[in-house]
Amino acid sequence: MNQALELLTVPFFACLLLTGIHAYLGLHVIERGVIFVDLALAQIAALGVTFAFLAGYGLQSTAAYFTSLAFTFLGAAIFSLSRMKGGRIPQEAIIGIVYAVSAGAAVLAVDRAPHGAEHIKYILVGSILTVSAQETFTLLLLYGGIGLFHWVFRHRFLLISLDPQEADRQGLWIRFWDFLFYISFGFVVTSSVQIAGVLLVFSYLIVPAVCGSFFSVRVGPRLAIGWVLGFAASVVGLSGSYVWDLPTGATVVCTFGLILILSAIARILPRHLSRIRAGEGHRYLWGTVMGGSVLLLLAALYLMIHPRGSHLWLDLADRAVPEINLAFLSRVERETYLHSIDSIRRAEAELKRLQDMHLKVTWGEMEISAEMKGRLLQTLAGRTEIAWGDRMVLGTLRERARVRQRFILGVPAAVIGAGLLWMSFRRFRYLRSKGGKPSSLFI
Amino acid sequence: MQSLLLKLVTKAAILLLTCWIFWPSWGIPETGKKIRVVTTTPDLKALVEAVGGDRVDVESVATGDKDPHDLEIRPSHLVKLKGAELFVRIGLDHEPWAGRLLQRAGNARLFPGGEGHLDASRDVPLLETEVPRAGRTPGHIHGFGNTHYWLDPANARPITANILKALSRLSPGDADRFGQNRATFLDRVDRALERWLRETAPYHGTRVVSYHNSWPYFAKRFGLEVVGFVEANPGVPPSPAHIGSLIERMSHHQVKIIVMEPYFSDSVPRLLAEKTGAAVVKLSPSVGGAEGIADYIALFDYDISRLVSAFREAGIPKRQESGR
Repeated sequence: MNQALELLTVPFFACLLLTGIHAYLGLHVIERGVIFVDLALAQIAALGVTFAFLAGYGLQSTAAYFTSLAFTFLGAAIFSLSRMKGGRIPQEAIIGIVYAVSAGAAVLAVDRAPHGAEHIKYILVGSILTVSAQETFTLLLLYGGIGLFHWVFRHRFLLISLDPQEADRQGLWIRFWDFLFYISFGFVVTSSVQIAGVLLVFSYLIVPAVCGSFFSVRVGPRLAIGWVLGFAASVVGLSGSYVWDLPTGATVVCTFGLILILSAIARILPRHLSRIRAGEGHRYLWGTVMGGSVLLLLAALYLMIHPRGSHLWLDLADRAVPEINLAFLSRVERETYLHSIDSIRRAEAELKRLQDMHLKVTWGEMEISAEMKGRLLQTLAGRTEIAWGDRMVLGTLRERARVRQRFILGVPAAVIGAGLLWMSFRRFRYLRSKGGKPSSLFI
Repeated sequence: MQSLLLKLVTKAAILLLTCWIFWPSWGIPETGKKIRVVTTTPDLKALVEAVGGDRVDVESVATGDKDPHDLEIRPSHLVKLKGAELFVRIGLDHEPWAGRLLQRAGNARLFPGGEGHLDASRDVPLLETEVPRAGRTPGHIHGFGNTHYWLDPANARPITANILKALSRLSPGDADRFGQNRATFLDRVDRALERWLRETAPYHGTRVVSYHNSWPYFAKRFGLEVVGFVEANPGVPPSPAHIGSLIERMSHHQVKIIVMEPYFSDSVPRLLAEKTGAAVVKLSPSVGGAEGIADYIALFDYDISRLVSAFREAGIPKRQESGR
């Protein structure tokens, strides 16, 4: 197990580097409203590598690097030229088009090349788990250099991102600075995508910046919040991947999603709490009742229309209170139901044991005869199938219970749902007639 | 003047068009018509060609240098299938796209159960049939046994037997010739197999880790023991714990070789190699998977020579041939 922790050290430092530069660049990206520019630039760079590859240069060669750089410059030029003052075409449209066309072109370009598709995949997928110490060090140098560059010219870059009109008024050459911005951005994104993959880089870029702007309008605090949250996501994501034995990149991305939700709640909660304290609690209560009643009504209708479908709420209720289903089964069925649940649990424990044993046998850590080995495999397969059979039995019995629950549960649930919905409607109409101000959850 | 030119151009165009319409039938004697065969993989193509010789015209849908699981269907595939008389596939769910492909091509005799549909796995002794068939399986695991059976040269015998039957049915006049072709081919395979076994014999029982579970037939024939897989669940990136335990076991048991297909990402295998001192060997699972692999025998020539030189470089001790 220590091995696994050791494996995560280098990726952890790489994640810190990613946090450092991307939380900052994300701020610019959000302010400029060019959310998907990283995907587009990464794809253009990939197209560059592809062309070099087709011309006979290796993927890691200098020629490939410079070709991809040249393509990134081209992308930077396109994006800096496509910024229009009050134009009718949003820049996000241009970015989307650049992304789609360069992705399509790359597919066409490598169609005939051996291992073509895989090469494109490598360039864009990356794998944070396998990043090497040298790569991380290169990242440190590159990000450090670009960070320094941005720090030196921070006033101009920030002014153009935050307030382009003012920058224009001051006589800044916006297109030129935009070009520099996109080039430096392209450098960063191209290298980080190769290491961490598109999804992870996108999360590092956007989520900390968005969370930062939840809490502040000033650049400093936003950046600080972004860095702290990016750090937290890296720590939690990597440890989660270790503890629960999950693919690393995907775990970090989902952690970012969780952090975004939590900070959104943290952002809106105090305001809403103070409103509740100010005596507006009933609004929230009736809002919840309204939402819940709609869900209940729909679920009840679905149960009545299609009792054999999957009813998540009833499944959850079963797990918590098995008596609900048992009440709808005959005595024999009840026995089978309970027996299957028990047998699945036992089979799972048994399977775990057999799989461990199988692993030990394959690695030669445990000696058994060839005949026993065959029997082990057969038992493994057999147990799996039996457990599956039990699950099927359980499913069938559950379906039977559902069919019987169809109207007994469905009609009352529908009536309650409709009643609550009607009541909350009336309540809201009454509140509106009293002249409460309309409220939004997020502002 | 201009109208004369126009007339000339029109006449030339009509002449060209006529030629084009009738061109395919020119100069091809009826008796020399080849049997048009479409196979799913280049390995089957090589085997069909070995039996059919110059009497067949074989095309493969997948190429050897790409993962056959994510094939993208192209219009040209459909055109090939529309005109084909025989469709040969690996079967056992190896080609999840085959059903869709046949449906779209709409050539009824190639449909499963039709006279032009050959499932090459029919008489092959399969491995790993103990995998449970029912229920959910993580990633893509084949439910009916491992599908990479062409990687055992001995399986060329049952596969070509069925190909011979199918081709002879389509062209009964050539049956003897096909039979002779097959006998010559199998003779070559047998002699080559003797050579391959001789080369691998000193390394009998060597433990290797493979990327994907695609080498059990190959391993069984050439005396390798595949003790672990880089992918815990096929198609899903491995978790740190899986890689960690693999590193521990590989170091502890002195496993020095990681076998993988050239088309998978080698980032995790490289990491494993770096941590354990093992070597990553890219073996081609298919004809056409690397330069110079033009036919079925060349495939094994390539793989065996790469493997043996990797064993030699990794300093794996040779064993006495009487070992097993």
